[in-house]
Amino acid sequence: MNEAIPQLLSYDEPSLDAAFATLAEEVRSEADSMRDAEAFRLRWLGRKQGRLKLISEAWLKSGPTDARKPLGIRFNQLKQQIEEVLTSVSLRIQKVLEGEERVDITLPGGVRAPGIPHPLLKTMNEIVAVFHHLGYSTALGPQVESDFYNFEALNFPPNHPARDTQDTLVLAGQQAKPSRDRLLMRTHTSPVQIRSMIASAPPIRIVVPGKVHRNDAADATHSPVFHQVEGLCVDTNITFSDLKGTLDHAMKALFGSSVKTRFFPSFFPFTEPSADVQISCIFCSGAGCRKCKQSGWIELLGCGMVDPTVFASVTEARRKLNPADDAYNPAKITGFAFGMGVERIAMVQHGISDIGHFYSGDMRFLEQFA
Amino acid sequence: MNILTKWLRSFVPDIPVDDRQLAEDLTLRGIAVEGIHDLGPGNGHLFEMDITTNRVDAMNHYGVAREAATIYNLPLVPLDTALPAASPASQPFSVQIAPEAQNLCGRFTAQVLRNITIAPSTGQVAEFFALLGLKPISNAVDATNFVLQGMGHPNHAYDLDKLDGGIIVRLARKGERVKLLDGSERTLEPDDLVVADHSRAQGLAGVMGGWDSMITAETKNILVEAA
Repeated sequence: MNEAIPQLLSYDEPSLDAAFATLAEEVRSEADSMRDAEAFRLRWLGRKQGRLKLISEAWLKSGPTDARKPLGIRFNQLKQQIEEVLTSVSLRIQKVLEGEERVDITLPGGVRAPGIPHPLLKTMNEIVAVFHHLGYSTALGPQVESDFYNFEALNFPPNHPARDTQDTLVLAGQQAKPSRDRLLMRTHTSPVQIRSMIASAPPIRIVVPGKVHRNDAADATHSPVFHQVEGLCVDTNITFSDLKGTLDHAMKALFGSSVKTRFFPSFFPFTEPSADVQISCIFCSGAGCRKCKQSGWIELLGCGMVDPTVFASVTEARRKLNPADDAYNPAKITGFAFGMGVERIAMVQHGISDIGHFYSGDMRFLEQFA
Repeated sequence: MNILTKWLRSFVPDIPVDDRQLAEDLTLRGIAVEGIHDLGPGNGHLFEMDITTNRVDAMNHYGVAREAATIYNLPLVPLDTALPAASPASQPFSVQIAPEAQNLCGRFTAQVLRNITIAPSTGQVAEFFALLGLKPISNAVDATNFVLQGMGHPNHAYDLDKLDGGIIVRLARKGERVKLLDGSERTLEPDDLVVADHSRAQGLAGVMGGWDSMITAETKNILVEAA
């Protein structure tokens, strides 16, 4: 290849025409043998060391001032020619490559990992499915709730110490409102019980999966945002036996048929009597280990018979729409409710010791659930 | 809260089961024992309790002992509430409950103790505090916390010489400020009940005592309140 800068001896029109014709010829002949379009472009049109640039600098410097205009016009034309050649060269090279580098159909295909449900969603869906099979339907509610639905209707009176156990996150700028209308982040899925009962008369069988918020510092077992699944069953002749049978079945469905359940007294303002449910430790089968704090039992959920006070709050709200409403008369109907933490159940199911793994987005953790 | 089985058993000496079974039996009656920690030979166990807000009566050692006595149908050792004979004060210390606070403070009892010596706690108080992992402060302060842990009754010791005049239990004035024992300075609302002297609030009633009248190493005379 010719790297030398050609000399231009005369600046009259015929000499210029001849010199540029020589250059154009040089471009075409190089293009025919060129295999690499980018190298070709750099050689001729490169901004600093391109041949066009070097030649135009040399010729413009040595030539008279009045030759600049005809030179400039010709260089522009030459540039256009080079660009046209470059386009055709690229096309030609591409065709050659396609001819030579065919797809090897014997190679294994590229594998893209399929998306999977998050382990929490998976557990939540499993729990919900157990109750769907028992005839429950899903109900949902807002995460920003009013004090009425989250507390007051659930028999947490203002200033009651039971509110302290909920570590509530309240929304700013609510002080001017009446206490029951103040907005907060729901601390449990139980407000959906109230919403559902106000919206429809018994019988009710709902299961409520959802996100809840508490002002808890994050540690191995706490997170300010977590998930619950709530259940509510209201009908005539619902008894504590129904509650025990339902939850015993649900725990066996989730953790295996050898799991034992036991109920013992607890307290929730919206149920009376209330109970906590423990399952026999699935790690040590009840012998006592670190996971169950040596007790042999793992506490998984809370439940109880719906407190008549809750039915009274529901009736009060329903009578604003229909003054004669008596659908939730505690003398005629009873119900049970239960609630469980999805994280807790998922941690027990998979033997996870730190709740933080669920929210870290660490692929090494999440891929284990594929 | 935490319960020492050693302390608990001093109220019900004849509990016929070991600590592990005791925890199990309490839990099944709704006084949930969440964790059991061995404190070494002769010290029994520490129960980590999770007591629900409907069972405030059981949020202390005597309350849990009462439950245990019921479970095993055993007598509960009565509390020794006898006080040493006191001499009538030369100038009576005045305690009043303001009219607006009558419904919020049903009873206010107090005892003046003079010429006392502030020193570290000894004996059972020191032993139980160490087992419970509570920080001992001084004999006077530890005694009030000992009563709280044992019987569940909030009570407080004031440095008598730092109180102005006498005690008035009243509602706070809007914007009134009080510095509490934890060093925090609080602005009060008119629905907060305070224990005040004749010039300012000296504590949030039933919640926390005030900084200004706290017991120090130099304290000579104290007022013990149980309300």
